[in-house]
Amino acid sequence: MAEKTITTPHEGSVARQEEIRSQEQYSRPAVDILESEEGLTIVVDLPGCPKEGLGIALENGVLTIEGAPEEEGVQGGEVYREFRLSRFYRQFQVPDEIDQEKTTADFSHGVLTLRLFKAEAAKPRKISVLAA
Amino acid sequence: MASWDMFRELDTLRRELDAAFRGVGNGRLFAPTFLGGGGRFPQVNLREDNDHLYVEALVPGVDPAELEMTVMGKTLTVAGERQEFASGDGAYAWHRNERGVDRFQRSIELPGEIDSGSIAATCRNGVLTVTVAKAESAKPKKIAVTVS
Repeated sequence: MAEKTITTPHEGSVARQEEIRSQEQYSRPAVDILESEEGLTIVVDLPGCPKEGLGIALENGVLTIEGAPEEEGVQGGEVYREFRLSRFYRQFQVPDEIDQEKTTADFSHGVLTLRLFKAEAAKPRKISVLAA
Repeated sequence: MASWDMFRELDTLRRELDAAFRGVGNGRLFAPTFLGGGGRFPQVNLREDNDHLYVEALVPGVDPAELEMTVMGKTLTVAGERQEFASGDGAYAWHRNERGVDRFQRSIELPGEIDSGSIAATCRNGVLTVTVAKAESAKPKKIAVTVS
């Protein structure tokens, strides 16, 4: 563990809060998390949620992503069902090295892309060796 | 060389098991995920009223302009591709990879005859809705009862 320069977003410590919420009403959105030298990119599938229904908060190192689907007037009676649009909720613990001011969020076609940038001090630096 | 860490290995195993059983039971049978429904994707819902059939498909992250839809007889086919995330600057490490990217094609047979000239599709926040008009022969008819 000691070799790692940055800790992976970890869900373990915040899982308890999720368990309390009833599973019928909330579902866990699928996410991709990528790390580059610049920072973390978190991609979340939130189908059916309008931009206004999204809630993103970064507080005390805990990133909370919430989404509420559109309350649209559905037409017709149900014949066959494979999915149900639900509310989304998921939390991550993000490393302290994140520069919280620079976070950007983009939402298109039901997919939220969050970019968290590493603080300057946490970026990897190349160290050149000087020949004597 | 990375050192072997039992807890990290266990954590990885737990995540793999979670991934294997995602969408199975646990009250999440109808969870709206892209790669759900036991290998059939996108997931679809079908609704109907007297004049129309409504097909909803879950296609988050797919550019609506890239979706291909065809109708032949009573069969509606939706095909497309969900692109991999383009990071731009090259080197990156994955911490979670749950969303999945793939080409997809799914055909569903609609119940009853349809009017193939009157089909409209809209895509909103990753949910595709196709409105298909029923053929005259498939619409319910009122039959007047005459009192003799």
